[in-house]
Amino acid sequence: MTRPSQQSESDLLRLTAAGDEEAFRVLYRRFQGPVYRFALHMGGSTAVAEDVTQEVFMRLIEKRSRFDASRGTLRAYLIGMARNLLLRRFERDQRLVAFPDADVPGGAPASHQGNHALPSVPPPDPVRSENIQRVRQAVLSLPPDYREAVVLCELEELSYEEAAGILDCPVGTIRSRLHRARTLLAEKLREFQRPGRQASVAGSPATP
Amino acid sequence: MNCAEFRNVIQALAREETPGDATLISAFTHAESCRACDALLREAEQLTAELRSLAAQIKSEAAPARVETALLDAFRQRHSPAFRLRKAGGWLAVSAAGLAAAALVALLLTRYPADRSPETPRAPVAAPREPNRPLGPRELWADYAVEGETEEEAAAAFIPLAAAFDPSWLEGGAIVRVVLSRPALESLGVPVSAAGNGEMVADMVVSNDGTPEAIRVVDWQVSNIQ
Repeated sequence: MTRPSQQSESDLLRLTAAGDEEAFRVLYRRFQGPVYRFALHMGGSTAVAEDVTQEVFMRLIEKRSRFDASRGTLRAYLIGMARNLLLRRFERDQRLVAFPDADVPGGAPASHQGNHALPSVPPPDPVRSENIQRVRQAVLSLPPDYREAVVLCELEELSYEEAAGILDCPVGTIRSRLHRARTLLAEKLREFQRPGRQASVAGSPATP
Repeated sequence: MNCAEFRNVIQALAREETPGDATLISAFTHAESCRACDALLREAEQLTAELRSLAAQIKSEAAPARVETALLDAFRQRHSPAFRLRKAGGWLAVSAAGLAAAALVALLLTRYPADRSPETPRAPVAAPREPNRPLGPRELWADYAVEGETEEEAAAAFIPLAAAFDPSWLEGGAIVRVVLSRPALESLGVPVSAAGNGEMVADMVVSNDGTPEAIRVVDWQVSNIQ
């Protein structure tokens, strides 16, 4: 008998629907990371990311999902669900800004960060670490459409096709958004390297 | 390839995509001859490297353990026998509501022919209890007797369907009259005798959320209740 950790996505979903707790646990552990990180980068808050991640998997538990393997991967499907939940939140709660706040690892220090974010392991090279955080801040300051493309294609390493499925747009749109996003990122990072302009990298809040 | 054309493919080049051999050769030829475009390409390649480093670094970022704990709790609850029973009861209530509507129409048609006034006095069904005597599990539901029962009817006390019931849940609930087969009654835990296979009239107490909370058999079949 195949162990849950070796099961295919479809089998795990089927077993989960049948009440197999171990299958659900495997499913969750396999996919919560991409869902959480996407929600974190797009929602700008660990609290929002937690809520959205929980809601996505609650839908699996409650059998409210309609995953069709012929239309894409389960990872893409779950991230798409997270995106829809975030959009609904943005519509409902206009105060939400898709922008880094103090909760996002790498953002400004926050006294309550320990409650909301996993402790980040400091890399051995502080200069490299600083560069990476700088890039992250620049990503988080992108307009949402561009940020989605970067998060999906660069950070989560999804294919253009998968990203297009999640964002419900043509592959060409993803390609052009990513091109534009990378150009903007390069400009922001260039600006950051200018003396006396470091504070402006994060830019103004990028609302959806 | 000129500078504008080069900048159209620069990000694809930096991501190590292959826009086609001819384009690739043309682009690198241009970069060799144009210092500005060459610098932009190097910058884009640096960006690719930094984004990959960032992607590698955040790979370990995950939802806190409390999310998994909460989800597993919800999963266990969802798949517990009690939840399934309540869910099945919910569907039963929906079905029962439909049956009740049909049964009420049928009863009205049979009990109130055109030449009979609907103002016929009704006798209360629930028998008065001795004061201060503790209620038995069936008697507890006797207070929910249906108003408007005919004098021909007899009814037992309600039998709770939910394992842990509380009459206060019934605020805003309803009592619906249904016609059920003996097997259906038996499946609800109502003890009925084996004699006969006909349908039986019953009153069902349905809570606000549609969950059936209690049932009692009415009419002549009451004599079969143990």
